[in-house]
Amino acid sequence: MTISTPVALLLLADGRFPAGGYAHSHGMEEAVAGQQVTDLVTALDYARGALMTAGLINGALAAVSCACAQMAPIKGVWELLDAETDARMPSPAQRRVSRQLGRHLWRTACRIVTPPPSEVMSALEGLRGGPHNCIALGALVAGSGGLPADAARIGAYNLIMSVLQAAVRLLGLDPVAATSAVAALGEELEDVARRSGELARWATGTGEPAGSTGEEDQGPRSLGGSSPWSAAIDLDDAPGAPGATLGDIAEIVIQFPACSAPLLDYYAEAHDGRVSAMFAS
Amino acid sequence: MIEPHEHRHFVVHDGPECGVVPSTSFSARGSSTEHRPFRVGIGGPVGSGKTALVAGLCRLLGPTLPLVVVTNDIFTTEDADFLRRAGVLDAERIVAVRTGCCPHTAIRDDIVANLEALEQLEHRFSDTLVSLVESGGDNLTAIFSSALVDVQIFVVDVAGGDKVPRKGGPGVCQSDLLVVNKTDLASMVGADLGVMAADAQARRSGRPVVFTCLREPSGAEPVAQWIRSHLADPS
Repeated sequence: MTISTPVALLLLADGRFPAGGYAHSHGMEEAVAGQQVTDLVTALDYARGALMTAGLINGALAAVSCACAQMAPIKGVWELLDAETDARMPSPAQRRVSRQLGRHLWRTACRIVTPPPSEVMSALEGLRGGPHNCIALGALVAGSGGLPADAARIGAYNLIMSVLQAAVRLLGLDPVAATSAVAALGEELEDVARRSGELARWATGTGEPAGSTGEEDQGPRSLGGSSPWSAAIDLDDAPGAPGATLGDIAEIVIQFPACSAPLLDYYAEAHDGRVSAMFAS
Repeated sequence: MIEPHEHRHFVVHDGPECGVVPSTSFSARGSSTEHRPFRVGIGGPVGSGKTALVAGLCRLLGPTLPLVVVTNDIFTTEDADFLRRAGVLDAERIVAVRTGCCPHTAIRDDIVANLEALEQLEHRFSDTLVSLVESGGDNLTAIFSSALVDVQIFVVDVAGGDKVPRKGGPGVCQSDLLVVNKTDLASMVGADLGVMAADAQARRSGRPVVFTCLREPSGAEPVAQWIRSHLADPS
């Protein structure tokens, strides 16, 4: 039985998808405990900060995982992406959480949506501790027929939704106002998805069908934008599938954003040491 | 009809639970109890005596039936810590899972974290025969998913008033065993145990109800016996 791509993507993006996400605040519990987040305005600031840092890193890695799962298998590529994800997560607690959520997503989703090809499945299941959440998500979106930008969008959406939902539970915020805060981040969310999709294309040379990101013809194939990491990237340097080698991909992925937020890392570690906590992160 | 894909498993190296996580059973109630320990869910409102029951079961069953325990504390790891301090079970056989302000979600709607914790414990302690999952204190609507446990016990207490069984709800009506705890307080709170027994009978279509005083050293014996009877006759 095949599930259509739009339905599969809806399922993967749904906060009620039973993959354990509901128990994670991604540092919001710690921020509320320290009174850095006290109301809707500060909760929205927190969500935006998380989106533009951890959300972008995870988005880019989810997107390139999606692209790699759709290519002919390249030996060692999943170990490479696993190591590159670790390298962008300084906090050991955050790495553990990322792998825990990845395992949960994997075991749940493989029984619901179309899983990726069997070589991808066995490679991901061979990763010690299980796949990072972003890698599992990318591979699952690929299996469902989605695009790299879709994987990034879903991952980033889940992040900001989890963070703001946690603020609702911890501070008793108006749930309508909190959800409208998610909507207010729509432009930034789309920016993360687009940049992630472009990074994935650059790394793998797989390209995306016309209209996939809604921005196919933007003149020069550069990422633009104001982030320091984006200025030097020229998509014409893409190695080009199907001839892309592990070395080609590694050379590009190493240049992926590494803009982890020190405060998120600190919160993850502080929360991990807490005796009294409601959320798992 | 969606065909279940092969169950996924990983090599886990972080956290205290080392080793290969065994394949997962998502199967419906009872279908795979031959291959894994008997899983018992314990739910009920805050303060009704769930942790006391778990401690009592560890004392009474532990010497003959190797156990593991997963707790779902709401704010702290207090229940897990209490059990470890009480010395009723090897501390490493107890794991706490945090549930993000949603204790009912962790046992009913999204059970993956509890399932993984159970599997890791059961794999690490392969002699395990009975696994207990203690829910965080919740309300009368809490119920365990049949994909998480084989049977479930709901614990209410006399001090909550003798109207609780009459109010019903999934926990009172559908649990496999209803435990009415703190019988020693009945006279002090004006609760009529006879009324509670009659209401519970009426609500539960003949499913069993036991009355306990878990402060007594062997107060959990009726529940321990009920669990032993399931192991002897897994029908």
